[in-house]
Amino acid sequence: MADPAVLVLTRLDDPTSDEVIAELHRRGIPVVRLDPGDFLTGGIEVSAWYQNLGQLSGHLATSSRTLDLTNVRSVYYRRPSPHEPPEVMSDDNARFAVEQARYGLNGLLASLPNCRYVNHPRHIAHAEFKAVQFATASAVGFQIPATLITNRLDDARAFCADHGPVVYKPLRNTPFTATNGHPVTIWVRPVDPDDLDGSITATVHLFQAVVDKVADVRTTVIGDQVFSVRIDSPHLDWREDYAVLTYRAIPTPVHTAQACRAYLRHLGLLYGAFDFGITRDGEWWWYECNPAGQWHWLEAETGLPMTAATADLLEAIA
Amino acid sequence: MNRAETPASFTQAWGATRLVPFKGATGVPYARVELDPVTQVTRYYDLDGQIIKCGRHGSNQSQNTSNPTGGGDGKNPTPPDDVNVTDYVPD
Repeated sequence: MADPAVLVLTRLDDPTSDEVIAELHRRGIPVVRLDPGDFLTGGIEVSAWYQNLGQLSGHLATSSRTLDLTNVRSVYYRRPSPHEPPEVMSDDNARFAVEQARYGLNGLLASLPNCRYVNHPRHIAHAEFKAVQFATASAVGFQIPATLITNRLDDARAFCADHGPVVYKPLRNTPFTATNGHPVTIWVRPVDPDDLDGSITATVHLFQAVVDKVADVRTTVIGDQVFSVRIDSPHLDWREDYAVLTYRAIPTPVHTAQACRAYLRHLGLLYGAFDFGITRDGEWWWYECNPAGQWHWLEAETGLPMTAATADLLEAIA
Repeated sequence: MNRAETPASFTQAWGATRLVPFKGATGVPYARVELDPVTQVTRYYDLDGQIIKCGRHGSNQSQNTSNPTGGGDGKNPTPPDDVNVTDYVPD
């Protein structure tokens, strides 16, 4: 049997995947890159057979590669696109085609035999629920800021009074475009309690006590390796403006690294990007863990060998 | 809540009132992308058809658009990383 391949499921314009694929290519590991979102608009062919007690055989072909579905050593799941139906389809027909592709193709790609997933899409999906994150973070011993999830205006007001200053964080991001066509987003910023109104009841909101931090830390865990980078920013939410950030690789306290590993183990993840705020006393307060985030720019800024760590994880036979 | 206000009467949830524009460069710093059939790495081209190093270890601008919260424009939007929808098969 041929050398087993690494299957990279990602968008065409994903620089983090480019780094990993280039490294695997340098190592002579076969790589197949695929965006499942391209499936319905053509260019990907798949057939899978189950016979002889359900044993799988099959293959998948892109414009440049053919993949034996039974000979995949690992899958790198790096935020591929959702399925896009052909424009000529009516809404009902489009929904039908998309759901067949999700349950058919994605189902197949999520159940490849003897294959390591970094990370498994079902585990990613589970780990993206904030409530799951809080439960897990608390179980492994992280310090978590006081948090409220609510659609009740009175409770939001009381939380601000008891824990102010308070920030609002979306429970899930969705794309928004302003009237001028430019994308807009929601940063983590303090809430003025006077701004709260009845539209809190329109859906669920998350409020959290502000950590009295001196800096932020992004801790990226890749397999057994833990990389922490201190990020200094004039903004409460450092993602607001990358041009003004400074980065410094720092050691991870032993108990924090242990808690990160326990967190990932608990949720069946091999990769996670943890965000912390650190106080003047050197305490690390846990904010969140992104199970599918980017990291390549941190390697560029600090030289931490994160591409090599990811390639190690994908190269190893599960 | 006023008497006329019910959860279903709001045209926008409170959280969506906190939307703000991205700072710095928006839009993608390339004209076209193509997959290298041999290496499976993406090639980025500028308007003149020249290969550019993009979103890798490049300039601040190219990093900006490849960062977790990188922007996009209306014509050729690059969804910010944490805005991308993860497609998965539910149990």
